[in-house]
Amino acid sequence: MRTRVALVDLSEGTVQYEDAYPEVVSNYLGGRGVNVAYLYRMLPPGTDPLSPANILIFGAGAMTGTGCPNSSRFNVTAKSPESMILGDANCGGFFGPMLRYSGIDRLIILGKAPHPVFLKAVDGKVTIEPAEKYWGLDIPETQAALKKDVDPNAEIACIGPAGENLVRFACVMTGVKNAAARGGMGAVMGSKNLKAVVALGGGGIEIADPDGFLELNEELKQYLCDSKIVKVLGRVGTPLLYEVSNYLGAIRTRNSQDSSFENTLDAEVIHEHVSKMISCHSCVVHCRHRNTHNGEGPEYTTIVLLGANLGIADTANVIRLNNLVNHLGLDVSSTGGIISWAIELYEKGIIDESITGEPLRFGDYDLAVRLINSIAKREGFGAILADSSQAAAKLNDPERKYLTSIKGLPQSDPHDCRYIKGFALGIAVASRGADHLRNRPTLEVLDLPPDFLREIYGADVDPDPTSYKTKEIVVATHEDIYAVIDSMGICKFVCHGFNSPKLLKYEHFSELLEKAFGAKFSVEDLREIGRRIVDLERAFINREGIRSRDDTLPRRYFDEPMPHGLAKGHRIDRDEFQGMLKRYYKLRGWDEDGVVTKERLAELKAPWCKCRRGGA
Amino acid sequence: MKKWRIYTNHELCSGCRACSVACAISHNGVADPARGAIQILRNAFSGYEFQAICRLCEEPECVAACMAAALSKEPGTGRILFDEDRCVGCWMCVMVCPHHAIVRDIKSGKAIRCDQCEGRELPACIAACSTGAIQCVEIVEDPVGSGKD
Repeated sequence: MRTRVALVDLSEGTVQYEDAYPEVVSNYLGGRGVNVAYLYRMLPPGTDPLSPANILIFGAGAMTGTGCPNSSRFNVTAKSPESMILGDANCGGFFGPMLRYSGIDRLIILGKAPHPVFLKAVDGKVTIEPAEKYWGLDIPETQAALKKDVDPNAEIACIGPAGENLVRFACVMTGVKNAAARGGMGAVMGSKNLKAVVALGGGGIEIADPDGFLELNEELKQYLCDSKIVKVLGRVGTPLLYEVSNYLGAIRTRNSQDSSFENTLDAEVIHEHVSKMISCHSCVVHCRHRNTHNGEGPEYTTIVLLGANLGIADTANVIRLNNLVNHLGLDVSSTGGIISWAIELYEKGIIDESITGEPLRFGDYDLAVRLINSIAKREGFGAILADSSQAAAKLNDPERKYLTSIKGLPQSDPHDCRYIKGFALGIAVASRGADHLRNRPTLEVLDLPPDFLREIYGADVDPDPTSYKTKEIVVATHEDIYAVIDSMGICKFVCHGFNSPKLLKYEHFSELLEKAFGAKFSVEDLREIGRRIVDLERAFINREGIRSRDDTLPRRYFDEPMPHGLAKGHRIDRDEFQGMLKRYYKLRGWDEDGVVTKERLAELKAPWCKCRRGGA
Repeated sequence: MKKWRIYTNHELCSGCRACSVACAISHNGVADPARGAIQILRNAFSGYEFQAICRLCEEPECVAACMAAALSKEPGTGRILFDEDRCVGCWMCVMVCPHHAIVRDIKSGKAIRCDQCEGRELPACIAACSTGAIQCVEIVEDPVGSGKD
């Protein structure tokens, strides 16, 4: 499997090309896995994420662009200016496939351009082009202008005002709504004076067994389209989860002070504002809404983080906030989490108008609009909020007692994790901070029979979601396969574990890789790739200082019982939590402080995990 | 050997381009939607996506415009046949097609156009589509007619 790398030095204005060592592909596959392998070897520990020394990597997954179901995804990876540890964001849309069609599987970007630039990838070549005229434009304006100037068929990943202004939770965006959102990868682009990457195609991807591959794709398409969860996601999208969480009493509401909210954000109500369901590249789900307020979305995450969490119930207004955040290039999860934090601090009298400039209250749509705009522009109080969790001292909450975050990253999952203990362990150990996309064991809510669970987890696990027992097995199993899914470049919505106990799993991945590329990966090879990626990401954050003490939860999850619904009275017991954590480290083979062993690290950072030229 | 007439419904099209990729793999062995004989014209910002594919015009402009006689209309079925060896890459067909259904193949210097996947159980684009936005009916040969339905 050939992996073509373009090494771009923006300080020097040079581009070099090489094929990745075959071992990096056989050990880390592609996408997220190969990105972290390069980042680990090439980035010196302690690097300032917003300095020219940070390394920014765009990497397509192994199957990205091949046309197999939901193969649209790519990863953007760098050290995060928000969490100061691993920054790695996975994104769909059409850019990842087009980058690959352009003959480039991975862009490694070093240094800082002396003036705003964009990169143009076409037919195996990358050029550095001036971008002064696009600086200051928002996400739709940037893409419209570049399509007009470069090529109407180009696919573009870019930053908006938030990235330019180094907001620590600025995203990289492509299309109207697809975002490599988490960890401030947009700010890293802004710090390098890089406005956009424009991909134009050129050669496509050669398929080893065209007839066999098409036959397999058709079979998988049918299998997926017959699945109930794919059908319902295709009809109303992720907001379908809102009612489930609300029924449980686990919707993060008013900065997690409450845990249930209005039914104005139910999927069917949202759907009254939707004109069509559309999709990413080669997608069989089509879960993305084209809304009637000039945008796409909202997702479940958005309606909760910018709706319930801010106390805003009006459906149209929540969708308008979704569109605004996407136009400016901000991460929805952090935007909602940081604003709700500030409002609670104001309500509790911990901060006042001398810093906020105006009264802050939940349920105020106009206030939310003002704050979002001021964050993206870094104006007034927004300049403080733009620093995300790192604004803690300025907000008189140095220990982040009222911020729902872990390792400096605000929680993305709209689900309050006090009820389902596996969710709590998952966000505590996730390699990029409080995040559900690394390992959320969604099957915990499905009440599956013990035999079926044994088949999935390879061990007897406790089916009770409120039990602390065996959750380390559950979390690690999901974590491994999600790492492989992200490295395949396939969407989690058609893969095992994230929404369903069925769908695509290792066996399917193995077959896809063989038919597409003639590449032999056994099921056990792929499982080991998953474990290797999790371990190397852990080693990366260990090197930046992360230890067991950092694998914790927002204070409120331990100290305050949940107020509503089925989840009422539930919280996380500190001793039980520590027990889960210890068992998880043991299962992973890490030491008691959550550190990857020297022996394992020696295997992981083999000499081929780097560019043939440049870097460490 | 089955011969197909392909129809599209843009209201069901989610814009995913699986059809274009499958077409390119089926005909060229390469995943590249730019080389598919079905194209998805989409603009997420303007809010549209629809399929451009040969509609087997009754009086095909492409056939009339082709100076190399690479394109011809098949008697009895109304299908447009394409003799790639004769194509000189002048792109006249691309210019005159009112449906944007013919594509330039920059690599080969030839036109790319739909051959309705003669012989396949189903055209590759339809086999790949997950929304039912592309459909086909088998052409019943009419020995004296033009093949019009």
